Amino acid sequence: MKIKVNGEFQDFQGGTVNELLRQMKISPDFVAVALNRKIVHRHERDSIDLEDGDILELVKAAPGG
Amino acid sequence: MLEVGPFKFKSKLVLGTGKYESFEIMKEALEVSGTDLVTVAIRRIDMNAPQGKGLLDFLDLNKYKLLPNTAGCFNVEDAMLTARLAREALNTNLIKLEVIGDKFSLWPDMEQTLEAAKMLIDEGFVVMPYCGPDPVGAKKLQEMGCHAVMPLASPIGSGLGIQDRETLSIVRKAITKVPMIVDAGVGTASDAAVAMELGADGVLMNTAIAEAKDPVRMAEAMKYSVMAGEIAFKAGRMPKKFAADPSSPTKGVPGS
Repeated sequence: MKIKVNGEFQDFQGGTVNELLRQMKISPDFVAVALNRKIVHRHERDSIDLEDGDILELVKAAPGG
Repeated sequence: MLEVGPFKFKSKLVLGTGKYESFEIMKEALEVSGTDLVTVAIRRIDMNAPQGKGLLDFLDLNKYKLLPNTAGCFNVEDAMLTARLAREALNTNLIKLEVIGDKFSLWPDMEQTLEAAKMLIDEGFVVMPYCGPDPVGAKKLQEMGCHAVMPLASPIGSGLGIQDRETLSIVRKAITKVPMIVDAGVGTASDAAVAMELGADGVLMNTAIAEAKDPVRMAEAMKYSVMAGEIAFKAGRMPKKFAADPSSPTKGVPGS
């Protein structure tokens, strides 16, 4: 299936938010996830299954003022 | 001491983390400045380089409280999403609210800032909105329950200093319940001192330090200018006069 992550389409075999983070080699600390513009809380990352066409934002702190 | 909602900060200087040549220089500048509240942006993870050292590897979270911002947001929806992401990523309910209305000047959109501030307060955020030097808008932010009000001194990153001291003084008079932090426009140490002399409770800056020739030295200068400005404000300046007034006695001048 195809999902959109940070503005780009990605192939994903299916699975939970945490499985996506692992596949993308993203350390889950200090990272926030929005699924179709709704926040996925940490405790939900293992239980929410992604679906074809889902739009995800994966963000972290960056330099700024 | 700077008090914002339930949080207390030793320093009245709030520093950004953007535009530094390296994280090492940023880290040293923050340390020298004495700040204990630093702003960060919330941005997408680079999917081509998801690992590697990042900003947070250079910020001692025992020393600094993070103040995430909603920089780059031009509407309420994006600002709300960014704020919620920030809370989730950094486990803090502090938020520097920016809703920008104009790309050229990065002037805040007060209508949308007010709307987003209300929603954030309802969701339990400690809200520090960036606003124009507008006493009426600033007061509305205060009355709705924002935890600080942060008027600009001149456009973000411009270094033009305090462009309109009189208006900022009027904003100061309107903001009596929460801290007023001058945010944006400071170019050098004297600007920070002027902001504090006008009665600001704090100064937030980024570019003035990051783009100084020697950011670490400038951070040190800012530390002292904020302190000097605060002390001068408390001391109360002399009245301005429109003619000279000799400091030495006019009587007893030798040879007269």
